[in-house]
Amino acid sequence: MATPKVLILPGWRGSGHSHWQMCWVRRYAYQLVEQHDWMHPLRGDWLARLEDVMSDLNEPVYLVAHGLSCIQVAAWAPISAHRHKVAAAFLVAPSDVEASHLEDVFSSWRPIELKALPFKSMLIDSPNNPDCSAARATHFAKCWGSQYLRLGESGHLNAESNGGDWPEGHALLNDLMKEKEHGH
Amino acid sequence: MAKIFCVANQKGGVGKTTSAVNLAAGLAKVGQRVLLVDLDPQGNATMGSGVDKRQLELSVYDVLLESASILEAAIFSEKCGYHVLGANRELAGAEVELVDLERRDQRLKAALEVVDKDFDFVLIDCPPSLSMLTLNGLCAAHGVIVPMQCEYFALEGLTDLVNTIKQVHANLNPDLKIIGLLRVMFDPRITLQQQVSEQLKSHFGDKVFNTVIPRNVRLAEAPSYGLPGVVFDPSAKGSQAFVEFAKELVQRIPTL
Repeated sequence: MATPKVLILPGWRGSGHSHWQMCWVRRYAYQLVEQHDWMHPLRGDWLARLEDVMSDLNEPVYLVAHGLSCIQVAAWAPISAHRHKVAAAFLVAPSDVEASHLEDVFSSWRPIELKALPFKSMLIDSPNNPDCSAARATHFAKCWGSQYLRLGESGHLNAESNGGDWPEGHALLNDLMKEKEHGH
Repeated sequence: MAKIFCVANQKGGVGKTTSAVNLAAGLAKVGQRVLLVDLDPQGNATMGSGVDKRQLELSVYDVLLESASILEAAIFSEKCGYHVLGANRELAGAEVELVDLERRDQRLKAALEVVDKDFDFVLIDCPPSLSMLTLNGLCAAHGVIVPMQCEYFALEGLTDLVNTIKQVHANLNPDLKIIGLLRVMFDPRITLQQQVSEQLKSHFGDKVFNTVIPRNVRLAEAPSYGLPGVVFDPSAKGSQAFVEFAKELVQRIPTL
C-alpha cells in the first residue's frame, strides 16, 4: 500500500505558526494546502484549489481540516473527480457559515453542503466553539456521516486554545488512520 | 438581437483583456448597448472596467451555476458606459462544480438568451486555456474576435485556436466562426511585425480587420487606474484606434 498523504487544510485567516495544524506540518512533514486569499475566502476559489492539489496526489489521502475548511471538505466531496483518493477526513471545530455573526464574512459559502461524505470521517468539536454551536456540530456530523467526538471546553481548537501541537488530536488522527488501514 | 463575440486567443499575454475592455468602451462610445462578460477567474476585465472584483456580490460564477440571472448579476459601469458581468477567483470553482451538471457547456448561452434584447453587443473575455469556461463562451457566441501580436509565435497560438473553433463549430455550436483578426500592439517600425501582418492578410484576407491597434503606453497604463484606455485617455492613439475598431465592427455586422 502507498504511503498515506496527509493534507492540512486551514480555515479562515489560515493557521498561524503556533496553531496545531502548522505544528503538524513542521513535525510530520504533512502537506499544507495554501489558498490564494486567506482573509477573503471565496468558496469557488477554495474548492478549485483543493481539487488542483488533489489532482497531483495518489491515494490514500487523509484530509485534516479546521474551521471553515470542514465546510470546504463537505462542499468539495460531492463534486470532486478525485474524492475516491480520500481515505478519511479529520474535521476539527467547524465554522457554521450560516450563523448570523459569520454571514457577512462567508456570504459565498452558504448553504452548507449536508450530503453524506463519501469517505470515512471524524468530526471533533468543543462545547464552547464560538463559530459553531454544539447542536449544529452534532447536526453536521449526523448529515455527513461522521463519527462525532466532543472534547472539553477548548474554544475554536486553535492556537488560542493553548493546546500546543495538540498531541491528543494527533493520536486521534492516528487512530482514524489505523482504523481505515484495518478496514473498520 | 445581440451580437455575441468571444475575445479569445489560446496564447496568453496577447492583449485579450485590453482588447475586450477597450472594444466595449469603444462600442459604448459610438452608441451601442454593451455587456462585457468576464470569463477569466483573474477578473482583470472586471477590474479594468472600474468594477472591484473583491466587492462583487454576484458574478458570472452565480450565473453559470444558475443561482442568479445576468440582469441580477451584471453591474453598469458608469465611468465606462457599459454593463459588466464580473468575475473573481470564485469562478475557478465553476470548473469543478460544472463537471457533473447537465448542459454544463451551455449555461452562459442559456443565460444570454434571456437578455438578448437588452444589448446590441455582448463581448466575452475568455481565459487563455481551453477550459469549461472557455467552452461556455464559445458555445454562447456567434463568433470570435482574435487579438494577436504580429510575431512569429503568435501564429502558433492562432493554429490552436482555429482548431478549437473548428471542433466547437462541428460539435457544439454551428454558428461559431472567426469574425476577424485584430492586430494589436503593432509597431510598424519592426520589420518582422510588418512581415507577419502581410502573412496574416494573405492567409486570412478580409478576416483581418482593417484597423490596427498601435503599441501605446496609455493603453498599458489604464488598467492600473481601473479603466479602459478609451476612457482613461480618449486622445491617446491606442484609444482612438479602438474607437475606430468599434466603428469598423458595427459596419461589418450586416455582412457577418
